[in-house]
Amino acid sequence: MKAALIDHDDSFTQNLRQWLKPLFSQIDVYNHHDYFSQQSRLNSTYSLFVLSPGPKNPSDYHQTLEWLKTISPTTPVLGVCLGMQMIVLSESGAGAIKKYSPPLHGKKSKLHLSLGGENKSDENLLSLQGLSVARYHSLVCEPKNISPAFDVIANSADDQQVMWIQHQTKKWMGLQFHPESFLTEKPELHLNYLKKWLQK
Amino acid sequence: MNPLICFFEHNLFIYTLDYEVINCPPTLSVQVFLKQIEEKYFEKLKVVQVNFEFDHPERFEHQTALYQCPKAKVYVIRYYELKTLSEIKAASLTLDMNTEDIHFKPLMSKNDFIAKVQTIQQDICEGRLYQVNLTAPLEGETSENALNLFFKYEEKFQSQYKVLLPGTQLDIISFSPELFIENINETLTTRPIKGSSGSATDFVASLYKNKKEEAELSMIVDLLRNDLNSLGEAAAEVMAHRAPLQLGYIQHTYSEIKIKNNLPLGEVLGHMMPGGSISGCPKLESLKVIGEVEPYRRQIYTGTLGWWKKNDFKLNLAIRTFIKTGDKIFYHAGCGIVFDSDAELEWSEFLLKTGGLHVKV
Repeated sequence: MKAALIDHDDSFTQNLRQWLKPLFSQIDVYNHHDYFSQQSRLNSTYSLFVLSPGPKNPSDYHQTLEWLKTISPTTPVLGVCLGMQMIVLSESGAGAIKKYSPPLHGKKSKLHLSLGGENKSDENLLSLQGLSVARYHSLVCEPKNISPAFDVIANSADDQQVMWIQHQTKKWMGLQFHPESFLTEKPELHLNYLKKWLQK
Repeated sequence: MNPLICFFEHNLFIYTLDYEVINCPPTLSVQVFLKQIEEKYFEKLKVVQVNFEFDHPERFEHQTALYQCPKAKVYVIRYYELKTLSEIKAASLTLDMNTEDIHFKPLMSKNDFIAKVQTIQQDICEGRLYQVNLTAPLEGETSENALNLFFKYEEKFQSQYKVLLPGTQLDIISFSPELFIENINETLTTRPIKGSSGSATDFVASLYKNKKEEAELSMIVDLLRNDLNSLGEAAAEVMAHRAPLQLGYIQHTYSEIKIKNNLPLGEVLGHMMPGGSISGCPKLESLKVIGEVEPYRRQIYTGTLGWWKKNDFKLNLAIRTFIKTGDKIFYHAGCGIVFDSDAELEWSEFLLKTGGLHVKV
């Protein structure tokens, strides 16, 4: 399996690459400007597209947002932090992303998973309940304004903010927390779940 | 002429008067320059000075330069001895310890500094970035010899990575406590410092239990893991997190990260410059902010200084560093600014990092 990792001028992209490595035989890292300026983007050769975290607001990344509108619903996309916010914004109105005070940078929260349907008995997901995850964000998703096409899989246990979403019909998943951070507990369990999700 | 003094290992310092100085030409990239030096002088012990701006001066050219200096410089050493500082002191016959105190004046007012902290915090709230290292120079006057100044201040500034680099136009005196990169036996180590406290007695309460200081260092650890992970296929490992570093005039916490590495110095610097702990996070955006809020070019300050021989090297992060040029002397200080920084306390931390210099505010 090959993955494309789209970097949004971030300083954690190489950590994401290291975290993803056990799942993929090859991970190609592209800067978002370069990738979305290419004529042929060879979408079909990748088993997963990862949208990296990054500075600023998701609405500042027009090319990534446009690209999300053009891809097939079966193209697997994982968005991390800013990446998740771009996924959410591409299918929701402007009120879906708002400033959060106080911003949380380099801080930890425990995950609180709300599991319904087939997820209810998913052992892999259950193993993530209550684990600490790293947070680097000053913007959050506003649950009442995000498209109903998204399921919220987990919130932060301490301040009840959206930490993890999945799209109901598209192969899209978003993580507000940073699975690649050294502050995140058992990052390999998150990777196991990603593997399973890709196989679904 | 003054000798060159550079930390080496344990309490031993490289001590030499016999070296050749090679400046990086303005039109050549630092990375290419270091590659050329490596090819020509692979076996030789070298002492290296690389500026903060590395190969991206365009980001900072609009700022005011305090002095003229090449963007990188290599001292190729023909003959040297390894000595302790007390041996060097004893051998320095002309040493005059009765030097006059130098009065330093910050080139940024307290009000200006506080306003800049608030600007950065506004950027953080907008999602632009997580942390920026805000710094400012202090200026003094002295006609004192650089070797005298080195020994005048070296006991005040406890530090593992002391350096005196003499020059015809400019002398560098560094009392850096921070290891930027060390490559020994194909293992690359970095030890970023973040978190500061003046008091040695309530170190635990003021620093160790402080969530803001913890987050400040955690961010930089993730940033440096990223920079190390960019070197190749090996994975960076966090060996220590929030270890104490007590220096008398100031107390810090630091972390240690390692990775297997076989890239040469120039390429490692290409991936890692400027250092994460003195720029901010995400790094690229924080460098833009530094270009916006700092009026003076950092040049040597927050660059890197140290030794290099074959594939091994050990370089400090050039903080707690004096630059003497003519009768002028500069010293810079700075603080990591995060959302929950208290601007007044950051100003106190800025002064704390002057380590008891006579500062006229």
